[in-house]
Amino acid sequence: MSAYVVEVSNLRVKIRGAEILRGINLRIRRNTVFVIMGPSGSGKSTFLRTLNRLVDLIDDVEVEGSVRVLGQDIFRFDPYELRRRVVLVSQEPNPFPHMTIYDNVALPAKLNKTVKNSQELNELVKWALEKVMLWDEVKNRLREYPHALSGGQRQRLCLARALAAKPDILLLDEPTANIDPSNTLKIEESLRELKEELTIVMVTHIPHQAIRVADYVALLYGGSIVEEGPAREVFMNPEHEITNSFLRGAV
Amino acid sequence: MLSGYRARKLKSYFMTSLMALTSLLGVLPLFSVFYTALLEGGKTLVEAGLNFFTDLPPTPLSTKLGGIVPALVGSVVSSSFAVVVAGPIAFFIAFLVTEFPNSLLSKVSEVLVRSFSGIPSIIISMFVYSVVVMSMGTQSLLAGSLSLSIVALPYAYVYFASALRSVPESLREAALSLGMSKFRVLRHVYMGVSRRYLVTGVLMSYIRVFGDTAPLLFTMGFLMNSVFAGILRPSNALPLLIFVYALSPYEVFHRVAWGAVLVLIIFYLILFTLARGLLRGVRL
Repeated sequence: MSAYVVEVSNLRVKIRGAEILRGINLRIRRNTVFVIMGPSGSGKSTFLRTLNRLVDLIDDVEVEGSVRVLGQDIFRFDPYELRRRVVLVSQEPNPFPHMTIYDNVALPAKLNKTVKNSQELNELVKWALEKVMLWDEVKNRLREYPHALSGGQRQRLCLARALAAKPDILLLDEPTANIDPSNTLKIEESLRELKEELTIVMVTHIPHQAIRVADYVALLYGGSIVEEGPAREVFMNPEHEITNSFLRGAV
Repeated sequence: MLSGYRARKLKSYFMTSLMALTSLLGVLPLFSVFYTALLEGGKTLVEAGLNFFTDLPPTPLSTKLGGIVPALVGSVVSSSFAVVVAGPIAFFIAFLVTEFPNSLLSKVSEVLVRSFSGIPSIIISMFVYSVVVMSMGTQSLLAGSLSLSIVALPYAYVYFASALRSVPESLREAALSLGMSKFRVLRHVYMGVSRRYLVTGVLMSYIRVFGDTAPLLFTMGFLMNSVFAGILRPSNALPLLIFVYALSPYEVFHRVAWGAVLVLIIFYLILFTLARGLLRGVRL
């Protein structure tokens, strides 16, 4: 089994003629938190959406280069199977409003038939909610609807829903962008624990968040990787001037 | 001279009163119709009692009012048939147009179904007459129902398309991100989030065809001597009965027509209230 779960080589993505990613080369190790930093508009979200082929849903998109996920070319994967194994959590909390808290978390397991009976399903829901530190807050409210939760709780619910799908890779697109500091810390703490079970690829435009959670980081700027490496090394001794400026908040 | 504040206040009162008055003038004809229907139809319903819903229509010189049961049954069956036929087709096209907006099939389907809404329903009636009635050799409940289906199609489509488009893009992306297929997204997300709008669409389409006369003129026939003769035989409908009886020279027919008008209005109000109540939707 390869140590790398994502291997990207010379990836170029054009959307409606505009080149968003310009020759990305990147490898992501198994069971790590890999953070892609970069200012808004640098192509971070497009990169994440390429990994599980959500870019396919955009009109007029061209993808060139090689992207291997879990040892396989993503274009040889069935896209639905790929997305079951490489789940994305968006910036905006988006629980399904017509389903209860319980059903939101249980849905992926029900659809993918990954549990044998209701007892296993209950255990899975509890496990996922515990992992995101939401269980104690909602254990008596599982039959309520998500609108009764705060923004931060809703985002953790989405994270629990993603975990219940039992993915190999979790893609997080600025998951704490719209929530308060206390919920942000809970999510970050969850991520540090979760990397024992899966690989996490997260994008953020906040350097301090990367410092708190990342094992490895890459700086994406103008659609290209400017610098990458173990988080500590990049933060302590950035080699590139743009990285230095970004970490100081000047980009 | 008035101070600026008082002048603005007076202007505001004047404009508010003007708007109230024009609104009243706008709804006055509607209240007038309701009032007359209640008065005239009420007399008929009080005199005929529950028999109005169970008896056959009177003969021209009858002293008894009789009832409207063939028209009631015909309306319920043909409208239900129309919604059952048009509903799934409209839903499929709405899904196609929402999920694959750039495909040729969805573009053509949308143009076709929207163009139906512009065709006068009397032409639809003539079309069904020439295709179905002529080949069957008789007007029938089936021909009337097919005619209503064509009328219902664009209405149901507009409601269903609006319902599906009301689902936020972020929920669609969330579902696809979990590895759901487009069919599963439709089944578990679109239909779930917009279920009240979808039911409202069904009810509103039902209301629309229940009161339509023109599509039935050449297709339905005018059954009076039995409740139900079969789907391939002539039938009747409330708006058709009102149309025919209102134009007849017999007083008893006029009274039955007024009673049918009141029944139609009550039926409308019940369904409309139900549909509006359902429109509250899922809290996002």
